Amino acid sequence: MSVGPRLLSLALTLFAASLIIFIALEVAPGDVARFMMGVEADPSAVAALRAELGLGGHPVMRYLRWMAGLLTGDFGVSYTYRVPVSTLLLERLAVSVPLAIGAFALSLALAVLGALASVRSKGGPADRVFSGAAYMGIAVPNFWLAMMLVLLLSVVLGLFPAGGFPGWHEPGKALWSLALPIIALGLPQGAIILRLLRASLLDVEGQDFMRTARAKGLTRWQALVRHGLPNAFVPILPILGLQLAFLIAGAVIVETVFYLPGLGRLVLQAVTQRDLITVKAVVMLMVTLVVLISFLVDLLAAWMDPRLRETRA
Amino acid sequence: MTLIVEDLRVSSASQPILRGISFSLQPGQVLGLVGESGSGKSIALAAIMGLLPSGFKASGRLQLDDKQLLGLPEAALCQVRGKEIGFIFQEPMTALNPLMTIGDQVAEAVAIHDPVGDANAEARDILRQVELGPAIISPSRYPHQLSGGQRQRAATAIAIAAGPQLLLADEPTTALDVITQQGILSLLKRQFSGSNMAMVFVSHDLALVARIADTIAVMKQGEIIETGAADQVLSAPKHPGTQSLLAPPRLAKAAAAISPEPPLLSVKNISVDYGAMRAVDGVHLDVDAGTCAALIGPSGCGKSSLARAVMALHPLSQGEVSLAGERFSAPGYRPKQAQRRDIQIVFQDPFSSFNPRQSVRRILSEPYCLRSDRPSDSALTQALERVGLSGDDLERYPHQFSGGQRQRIAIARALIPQPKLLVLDEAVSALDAPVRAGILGLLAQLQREERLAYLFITHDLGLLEGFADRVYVMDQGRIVESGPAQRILSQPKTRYTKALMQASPHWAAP
Amino acid sequence: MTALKIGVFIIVMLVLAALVSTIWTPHDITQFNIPGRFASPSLEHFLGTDQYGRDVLSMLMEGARTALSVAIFAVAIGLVIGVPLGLLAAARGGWLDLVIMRGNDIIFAFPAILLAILFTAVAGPGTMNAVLAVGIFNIPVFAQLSRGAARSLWQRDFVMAAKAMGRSDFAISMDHIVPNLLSLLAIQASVQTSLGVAAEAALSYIGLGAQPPVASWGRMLSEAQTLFGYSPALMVWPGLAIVLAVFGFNLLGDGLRSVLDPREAA
Repeated sequence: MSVGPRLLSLALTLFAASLIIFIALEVAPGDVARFMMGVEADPSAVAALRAELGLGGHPVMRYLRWMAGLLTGDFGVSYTYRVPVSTLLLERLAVSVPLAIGAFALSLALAVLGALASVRSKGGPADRVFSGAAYMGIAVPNFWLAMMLVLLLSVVLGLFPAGGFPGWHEPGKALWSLALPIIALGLPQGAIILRLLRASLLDVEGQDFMRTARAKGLTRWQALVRHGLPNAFVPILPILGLQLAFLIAGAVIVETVFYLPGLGRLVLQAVTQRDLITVKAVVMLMVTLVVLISFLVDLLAAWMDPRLRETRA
Repeated sequence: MTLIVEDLRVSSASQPILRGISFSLQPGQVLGLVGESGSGKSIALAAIMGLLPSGFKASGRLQLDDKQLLGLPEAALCQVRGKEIGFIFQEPMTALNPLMTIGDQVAEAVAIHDPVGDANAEARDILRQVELGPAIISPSRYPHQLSGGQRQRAATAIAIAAGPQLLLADEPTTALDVITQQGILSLLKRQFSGSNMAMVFVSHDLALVARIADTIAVMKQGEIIETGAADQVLSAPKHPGTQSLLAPPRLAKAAAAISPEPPLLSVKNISVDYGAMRAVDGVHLDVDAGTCAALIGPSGCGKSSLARAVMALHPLSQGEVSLAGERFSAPGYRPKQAQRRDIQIVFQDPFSSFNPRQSVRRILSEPYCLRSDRPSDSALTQALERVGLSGDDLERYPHQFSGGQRQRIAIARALIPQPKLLVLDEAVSALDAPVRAGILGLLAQLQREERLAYLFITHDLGLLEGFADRVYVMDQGRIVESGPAQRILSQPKTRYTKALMQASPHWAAP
Repeated sequence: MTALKIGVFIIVMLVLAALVSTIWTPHDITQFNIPGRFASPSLEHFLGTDQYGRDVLSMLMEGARTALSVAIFAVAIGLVIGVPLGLLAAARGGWLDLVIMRGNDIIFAFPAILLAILFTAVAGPGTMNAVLAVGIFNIPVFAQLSRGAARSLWQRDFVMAAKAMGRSDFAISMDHIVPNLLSLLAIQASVQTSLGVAAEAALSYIGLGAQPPVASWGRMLSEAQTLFGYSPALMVWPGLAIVLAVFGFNLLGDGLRSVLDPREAA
């Protein structure tokens, strides 16, 4: 796959998504200023807000102005926080990105170890333990797990803070306060990936080249790690990409449980306070991240699998 | 190196798979292990390698020089695999790791047993031995960039990389077309000349095995039913099971009268594209009413694309197909419903030919959309009886039938619209020799009774003698030779056709 | 087989609880009973009472009704809209296929929970809107699944044979494609239902799902979280209910797979 057409489709997807976001948030609700202030608001205050937000004028012009702002890094000023949205986004990304990456790394490590151990002893005790745990794990919602962790490790044992985030000027404390959220997000995610990877690895194990590897004289474990694992990862890469994107955007609920100032909680607060300028910007940022990650995953897949590298079949 | 197999038994879930086989192999010797699919020959090889699928249990004696392989601990077996025994598998498409270069894969096989030497240099040497030197193909190529024959050479390189004295080859040429088969066989033969290497060569094709083996052991249902010198087993088989493996699937057929009418099917200068690839390139072809035209060529030459184009299942890029004097398919033209009555198709794979959720009754009722009447019990029963099945089969489902029976159902379905022409797209290629003979007999009978015409597509020249009236030889999307069957089979003109004939194991050169 | 049986058992129990709750619950949950709040489990209140003295078991039964109806209707939306789109894309190919699949990609670019939040933000919170919010995401899921499976079926010889008989795309879709998709759809439907249960709980937890007085497991959790000093048990029961429901539908999906999947049926 060549990069050019892929980039074009990335741009098109982002364009379509921006249209959907704009229509959903600025056109569909009707009078945006009234929507933001509520029905019983004073008409003159509504008019003032409309003027302040630049809500007059044709929707097409407003869309173009929004786009131009996004491209130059001007996301507007938050209606509730009264600060530039770009400042808000940067602050929140500093929490959300480490949280997502930490949870992703945890889930991947669990999944690789669990899947290898379980496939190696297929049907044996290790397989049963890992598969069973993964099976239960995918049924546990991450926010409930978060509450149970808080209950057990913070309230009863007092090991971790129950919530809040001190800021990165105290790196040790900051990391410590991300520990429980990372576990709460990473464990169920790890269970999902473990099941995917185990199934993929079992598929690969049945293929002829694994027999070739054994016939060369490799042990079962060597064959699994050297030949099985890379081949098992290729088909699940797109799903892994989606999972990572989900961890950045979908941590909404877990951030709420731990009172973490991340992107998810920002969008939620903005929604409840009807701060549509912030909502628009956060949603657009998240969609961009999702699309970008899946683009990078495609590149990664092409790097791993030479068959995907060909420009033409 | 001496291998002694004595009373080798393998069972799975207390179901016996191998019922005690014995043979022995001396240095420099090639043993051909022959049998129908499911006779246990591949399991025997897996047992020798100690790579039986989980749940399989082996007993008996497997003596490699002074080592008893059965019961050897896993770590010791890893030392034997690759180093003392090399293995070549059937499927060159899947036997190589798609994510690793062939050079790396060969080098890995070297390095496992010799961690200190320069594995990469040695890998290049070995690739040169199997005629994949850097001049032909770079070792940094990936498996999907190689042709089927080249992949099998790479797989052979992996098998011989650590210098084993015993080679186990499991149908190494079955997935290849006849000409490539020939190349792999001579490559393997060369490996033996002047060396002490021994080999067990497994195949379902007795004639093929006879070309390489000194001794042949014929297997059936987990037992060896006949052993002997290769030419002896081939020329004077004792056991009826061996004779059926050998029986040529040829048929005597009443010569069709050459008709003066215009051809039933006329294909004029058609081309077919799949994306940027031209699969069929300017092909002309005629089939006369009541005759059989054969289209022969290696896999991937465009035969099946041609069949789909003739059936108007894939659009033409140029040219025209006409049926019974009327236009049937052309660029931008789709046939009328009524025209489809005249031409029907039978596919190669008797497993995917039917919707698995439909009973035979529903399967046979579907083509009634091309007829004016409704399917009745008696008509459907009759349709089944005509192909040698019975009305009791109507309520059964496809998976309850054997491969040969399914192919009979496929023929019954194709005959219901009362076509004048049947396209047989490798319709007997997937079947064992005895079953194949039965289907060919049925086809010959139908042709006599119904004056049916066939477009018979195959990669196996050996099937054609006595069956085809005209032959078209196809290569890389083009017809390279055509003419009356008698002439082509006795005096092939192009080198390509000659090569096809020489390579066909079923073909006894006159 | 056992997976299927256990899954069916769990789901039947949940559905029964949800159905019974429409006509009877052990206690009336619209009545507050402040003196009897935070009661421990007893014969009268099997799982105790909450901060308003409401019977927790009764709340859970009503919560089952909310969770199941949201999840099941959302799957119905996905099936009714997504499957025909996927079939159409597979049968026709070309630009139609391209448009439908691009549309899917765009919806997939929104993380599911974000899409649901956005939707409820514009349309307002409530059970009905939660159904729609979860259902939107099910449409591309089913469209993609049925398109992928249908496309490979269209390449099969039995479809080729049907085309050679001159049958229409619609007739082939109905006779040959849909019957072979049913087991796949059943499996995916139970997986999406389990995701729907979790999504409903999440939406209600952040206050965008079912609104009072309708009981919901997610809202029970969010209310209990502020009170875990008083009664940690209030946080445990609704969570276990969610786990049980998700687990049940997953078991059902896997059980169906092992019974129906053509690859495993010999």
